Amino acid sequence: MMQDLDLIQRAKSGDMGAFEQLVFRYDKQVLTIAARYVQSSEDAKDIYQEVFLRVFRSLPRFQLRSQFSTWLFRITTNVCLTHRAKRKRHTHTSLSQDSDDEHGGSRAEAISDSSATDERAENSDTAFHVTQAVGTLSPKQKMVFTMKYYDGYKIREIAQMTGLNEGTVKRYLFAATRKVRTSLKDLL
Amino acid sequence: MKHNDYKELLHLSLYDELNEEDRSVLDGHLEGCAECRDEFEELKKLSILLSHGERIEITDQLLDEARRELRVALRLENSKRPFWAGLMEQFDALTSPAGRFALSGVAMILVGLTAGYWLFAPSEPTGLSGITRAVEPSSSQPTETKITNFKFMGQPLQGSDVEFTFDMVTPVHMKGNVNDVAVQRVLAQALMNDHNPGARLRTVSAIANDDVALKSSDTEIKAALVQAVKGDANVGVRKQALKALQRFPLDNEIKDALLYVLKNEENPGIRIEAIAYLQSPEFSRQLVDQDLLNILKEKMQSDNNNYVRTRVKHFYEEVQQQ
Ligand SMILES: [Zn+2]
Repeated sequence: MMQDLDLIQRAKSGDMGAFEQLVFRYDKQVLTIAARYVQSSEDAKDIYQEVFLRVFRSLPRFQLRSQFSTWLFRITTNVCLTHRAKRKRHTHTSLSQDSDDEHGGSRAEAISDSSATDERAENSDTAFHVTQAVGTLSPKQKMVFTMKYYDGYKIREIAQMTGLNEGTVKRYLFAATRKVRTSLKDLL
Repeated sequence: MKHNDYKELLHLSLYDELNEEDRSVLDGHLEGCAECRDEFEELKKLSILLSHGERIEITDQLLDEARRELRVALRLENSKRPFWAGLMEQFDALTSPAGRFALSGVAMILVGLTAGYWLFAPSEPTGLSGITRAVEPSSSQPTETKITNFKFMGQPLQGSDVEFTFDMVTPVHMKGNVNDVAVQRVLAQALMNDHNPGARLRTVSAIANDDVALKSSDTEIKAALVQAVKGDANVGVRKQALKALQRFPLDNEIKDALLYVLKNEENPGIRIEAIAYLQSPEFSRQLVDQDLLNILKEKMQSDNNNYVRTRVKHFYEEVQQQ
């Protein structure tokens, strides 16, 4: 099988077939990360397309000594994060402005209040509450959280794919878990 | 080890990320600590609950759709013509009402800005980046065109031949998508050359307010933005230019611009934006150099804004750990 680098070199010289092969190697992973993050197949396809267009456009600058997949996933997570920011334009989410702050707290409480009035939720209901709870996370928290819980990546892998260091990934992950747990406390 | 340290281990255990050593440490502690045992049980329940969360199914059909749409987008991307083709086509459309402009000799435009340059045949176009083109001396002039900067060329020619240069400035109405390369070039020129800060602000906002990422190869607009970020006299323009710059992938050139901002910008809000952009996931180890470390170190100690110092310190530590 051809190495990524060979395909990149051929794609750089305008071979669209080679580019396509390269895409097919990783695109399911990209689509999955996006879908789990945005929870919508339409949005996920948008992200998918933007990611590979960016890859295509920056291919001429791609340095052959770097790892293609690392670069690709970094673009993927970054497009995911900005994608959310776009839908909620008015809230002005700057990429790294979200820390482990409390601004999700009130929404989280609102959710657990409503779930308290339900009798123990059925499965589909549970799914709904989980989604709501995950929705209260800040973009970066949500990114690492979905990559961990839904996609099953290791912390080390998440660090590499997002460009954050492992300590930071852990910090986001703990904070996210804490927040989700508070939101879901009446289901526990 | 304190309680909190064990809590971290509990989480890691839940994620299945404990090494042997930590696991036995944790197991030892769990035997003697009821509180941590309860915590662990609850975390396990949470984990089960989370496994009931909705997940979009990645079907072959969905993947196929995504691939098909990408193929279309790529074809579009490939068919984007060189700058001149697009610009002239727009120009064509604008000038179709009879005889406004004789395109046979192909004249030049520069768009509502005052910075139009037309060079005379046969010299090579060398004026403002790209937006220049040879003009046939015989081509008819539209009435609105102003001729300025008239100069005879140095060497006298033989007989009755003369050779001279001049600038023709023609107001042009242009309408197009901000992602069109031709439009971008014009905007870049406006950003660099317009004397009216309001016009520059509108220009740079038009570039910033779009969802589509810009290519690194759009060097002209990037250069214009970098220049505006560094040196525009108007704070609003600098702020918007920084926002617009974020549509490009973070590379060395942009990193340098951001460091420049961090070092020299007087508005703390813009410095904070710059550091936020640097801290994005796109930031990679390859971008770390001595210059970066020095500036960060200096700013985390001496920036006059407390929040900037904190942010820089945070980022500095992240970079150090990488
Ligand atoms: Zn304990």
